[in-house]
Amino acid sequence: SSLLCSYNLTPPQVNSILKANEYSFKVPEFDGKNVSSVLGFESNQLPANNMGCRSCCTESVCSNQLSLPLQALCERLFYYIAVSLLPHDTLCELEAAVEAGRPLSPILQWHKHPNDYFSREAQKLYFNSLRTYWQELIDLTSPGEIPETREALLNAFKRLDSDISLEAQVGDPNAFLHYWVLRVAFSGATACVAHIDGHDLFIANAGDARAVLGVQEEDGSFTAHTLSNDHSAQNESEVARIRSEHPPSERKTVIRQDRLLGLLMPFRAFGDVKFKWSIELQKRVLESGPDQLHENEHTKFIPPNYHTPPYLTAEPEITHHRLRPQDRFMVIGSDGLWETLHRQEVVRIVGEYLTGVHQCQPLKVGGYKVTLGQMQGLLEERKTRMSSAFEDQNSATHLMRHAVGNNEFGTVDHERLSKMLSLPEELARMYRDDITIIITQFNPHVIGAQRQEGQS
Amino acid sequence: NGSSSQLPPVPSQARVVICGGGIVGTSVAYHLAKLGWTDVVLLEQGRLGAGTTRLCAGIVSMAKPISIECQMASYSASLYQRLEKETGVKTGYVKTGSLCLAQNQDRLISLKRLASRLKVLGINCSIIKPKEAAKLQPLVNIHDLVGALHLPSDAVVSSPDVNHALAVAAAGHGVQILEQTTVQQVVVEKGHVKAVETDRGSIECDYFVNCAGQWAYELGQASEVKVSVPLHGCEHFYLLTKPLQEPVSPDMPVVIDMDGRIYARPWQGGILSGGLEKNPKPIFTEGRNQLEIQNMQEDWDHFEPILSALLRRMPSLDSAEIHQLVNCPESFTPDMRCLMGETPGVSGYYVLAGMNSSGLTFAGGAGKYLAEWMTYGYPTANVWLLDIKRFGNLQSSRTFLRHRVMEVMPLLYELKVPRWDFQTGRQLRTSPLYDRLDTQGARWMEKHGFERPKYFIPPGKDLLSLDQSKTFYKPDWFDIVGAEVKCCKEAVCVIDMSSFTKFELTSTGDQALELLQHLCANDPDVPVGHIVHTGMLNERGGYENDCSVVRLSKNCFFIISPTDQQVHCWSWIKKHMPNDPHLHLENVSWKYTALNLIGPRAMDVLAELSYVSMTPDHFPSMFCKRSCGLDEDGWSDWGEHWRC
Repeated sequence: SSLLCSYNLTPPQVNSILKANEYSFKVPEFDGKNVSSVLGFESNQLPANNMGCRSCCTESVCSNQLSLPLQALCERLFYYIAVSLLPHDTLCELEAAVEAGRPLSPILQWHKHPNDYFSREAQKLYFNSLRTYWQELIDLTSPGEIPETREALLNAFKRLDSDISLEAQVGDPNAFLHYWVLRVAFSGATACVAHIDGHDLFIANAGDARAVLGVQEEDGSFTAHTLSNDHSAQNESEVARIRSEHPPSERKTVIRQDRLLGLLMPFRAFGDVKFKWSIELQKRVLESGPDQLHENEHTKFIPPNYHTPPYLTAEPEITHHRLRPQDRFMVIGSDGLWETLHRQEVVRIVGEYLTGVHQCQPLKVGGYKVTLGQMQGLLEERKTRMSSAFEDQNSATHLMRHAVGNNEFGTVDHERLSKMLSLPEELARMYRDDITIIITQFNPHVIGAQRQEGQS
Repeated sequence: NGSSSQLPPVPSQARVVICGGGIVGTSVAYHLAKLGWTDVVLLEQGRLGAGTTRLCAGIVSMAKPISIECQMASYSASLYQRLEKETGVKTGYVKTGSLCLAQNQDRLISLKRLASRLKVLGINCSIIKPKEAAKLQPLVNIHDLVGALHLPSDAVVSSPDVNHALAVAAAGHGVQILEQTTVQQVVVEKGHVKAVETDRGSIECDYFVNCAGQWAYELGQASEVKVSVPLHGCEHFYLLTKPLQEPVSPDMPVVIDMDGRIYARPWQGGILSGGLEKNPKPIFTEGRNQLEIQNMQEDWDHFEPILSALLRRMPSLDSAEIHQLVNCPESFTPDMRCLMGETPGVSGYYVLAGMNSSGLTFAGGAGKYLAEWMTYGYPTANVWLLDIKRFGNLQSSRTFLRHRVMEVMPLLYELKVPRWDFQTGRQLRTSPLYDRLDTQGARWMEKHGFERPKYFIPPGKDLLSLDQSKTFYKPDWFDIVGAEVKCCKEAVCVIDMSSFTKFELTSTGDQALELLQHLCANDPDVPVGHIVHTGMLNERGGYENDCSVVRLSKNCFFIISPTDQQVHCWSWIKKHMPNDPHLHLENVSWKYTALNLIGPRAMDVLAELSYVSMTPDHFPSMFCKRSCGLDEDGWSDWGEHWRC
């Protein structure tokens, strides 16, 4: 506990840490043709090791190298999904443009997170993989064919994971790039993607991130509606799936202590080839790999009871939800968020923030015996809760503040917030996970209008 | 319908119809009856005292910022004291006295100023030490106090009971009181009140009195010729506790802690405490109905600062149990003073409303003065500051009022330092030179909705922020103004006087001159081009207006009056103007930009600008000339006369 008290951050310091990675995008509202069912989205990210730069320089570089492949993966996934969703004819135009050396019409309007990063070399490699993918899609489909969303999402996930795996197996003459692709393959990432088209909301989820819908009830309060299933030991059907994929002899070892082979928390993920490749393949790839890899004991390590790989898949579970006017927003958060706050609490905090209405019910004394002193205490507590709400311009940051700083009364406690954010890395991981939050706000009017059209 | 059929029919005619059965309306009725009016009808849309009166906190305090208000409060206190004996109706009157607490020296100064004014009016009061205050009111924590003002004659009453007593007394003198009767429209003929249309029939009348409180604004709009009653409602909260373990004695003094923004009085063994918060909640901007006012919601979060201030002042209340938080809407006016008198547009249409949360305290005195006004043409006290004619149309929009009352309500408990300007509802009207003067560093004040430069901040000089600039001592702009005055006295200055009220009075014959001869104390029959400075006096020799009259031609006069006299002066002239189509009065205030060139070198500047000779022979004092398209309406030392 002496360590816990060693740092004390001022409120502005706390804010600068919380707001470092925030991002927000608003769909232009008054362009006269706004038919988007999405008003905009806001996101934020809090790494568990944000203190890296303070405590030790080398560590911070190292930690960045660890997290960068994940961000690269994140960005690539969007391109894979985009390509999967494009009609046959558009893919042909795309290919023709690349062939002729013409500039590509942008596939994505890309909302780049400030921390998103690609190395130039990797970018080239990734582009070639993506091009191979769409070339195959052109061969597989016929003119006029428009892919089905569910199928497209599924394929994009699987294809990206196999490309990651393939790139690592093939390697690269450039030593840095070779090292890079291996790092990507050996690190793991879960993904939860929402695809919204009109009132159709598809969630593709692989891993323990979660998408939750904020539904506004008639009385103005918010209830949580979970859109995705976690792929972890808490999900019985996931446990059953994994056990069924391996021989009965492995029944006890395949999931131990709620972890895959006793090691991995999420049961689905990108990368993490240690859980996918055969032992021979792992050894061969590592031996031919660059020297840096040999120094890392972690990559050499083979999970115990590793008999019938693959144990891990990046195949997403796809769920569909038809948006209704009362569906006001959706929160996609990494497991770090859901571990600290119950989904109902998450939806309440975000709902109250977005509507600006504090659902803390107006106080009524009713028939109870309340003294002035008790009432004063109660009001002061409510006041601090409200004032904390207006520090943030970003709903994701606001939620983050609660996730990290909430005390037992459900209000943000600055002291706690300060302590949690100033933990040294090794301790931080014990107290909290990485937290990534994306909050998408829906436009109930557009959704309502679309539903009426759909019915008539 | 069943109940309304049992109601007595409305009379077809009456001398006076009063609308509003709250404490203000019944007070007017009571005093009119006392002054001998026999044919008075009072209409109430619901039950008597069902509006703000029903929920009023019941404190009658003479600690008011201006003398006329103290006079009204003093009269109210004595009226309420004798009312029970006079009518036999219990009013709950208890002479508790009151303590106005001072947490700092500035507050103590303002209380001392108040005390000296009260003593002049013959109201008993004394400045006391914190320890003496604690003796009078043991609940008060005196640790942060520097002194207090003790007013032994202040009292508490039950305002619905006072309301009832006044109604009983008025009815005893022949006033007809009709409940559940809603005024729909006031009919006006030839600028005079003709009749009042209600939901139960029409009443012909000579006088109409709008005492509709929260509803007065809308009632004003519901007149054939619209009458503006500039007031706006704000929610007002107070707390009732259950009896304390050691019940509070009913004659314990009322406590007013303006620095803490709270008041507290004994209430049924417990405490009643409310305040005027910094962030008021304006309501009813979009209109209202009877139902709403009875279903006002409590808002504990909003009350929190007041509760904290109360517990700081009376820590022992910590363990007191809550009985109720009452939400009682009050109406506020743009300048913290009530609205009284005859409206400028409609003769016979009187208003008494906008009590700024002191309705009970003022009702007695204000009712008396309004009754006198209607009876004698003017009340026995100087109510100039309360005259509804101080407001023009600029200050009557709902948006303006909503913004302004949010500033006014907290100000009621703040220090009243000299030369304070309202900060909200500004820039309603500006001079054409506004931007130019603003770039020159002008600091602005508002008069009658018009922005006027107060002084100019020299480059490189910073003044204190608004909050810090409130002082009874030498203000930080003092030297700036000093330099400006010196410049006017010893060299030359230009002053933008565009805001001044300007009328043109013309006639085909000498009707204009005749009217001015009737109105003005000085002789306006001067050669063309000459200026007369004169007062317009009433029958008793009192000033109704202070103006300069320029004779532009034989039958055309240009009348210049102070900015805030626009409505009052207009209505005074109109009132005395014969109904003659050949006599014409026009308000040309916004047609002219006025510049005052002042100082011993003024002539030199003018000589540079004009080809006309500027020697005293050619351009004597109090003389008007048109030159180079520039109106130079005389350059004597007008500023001195105009008290701007």
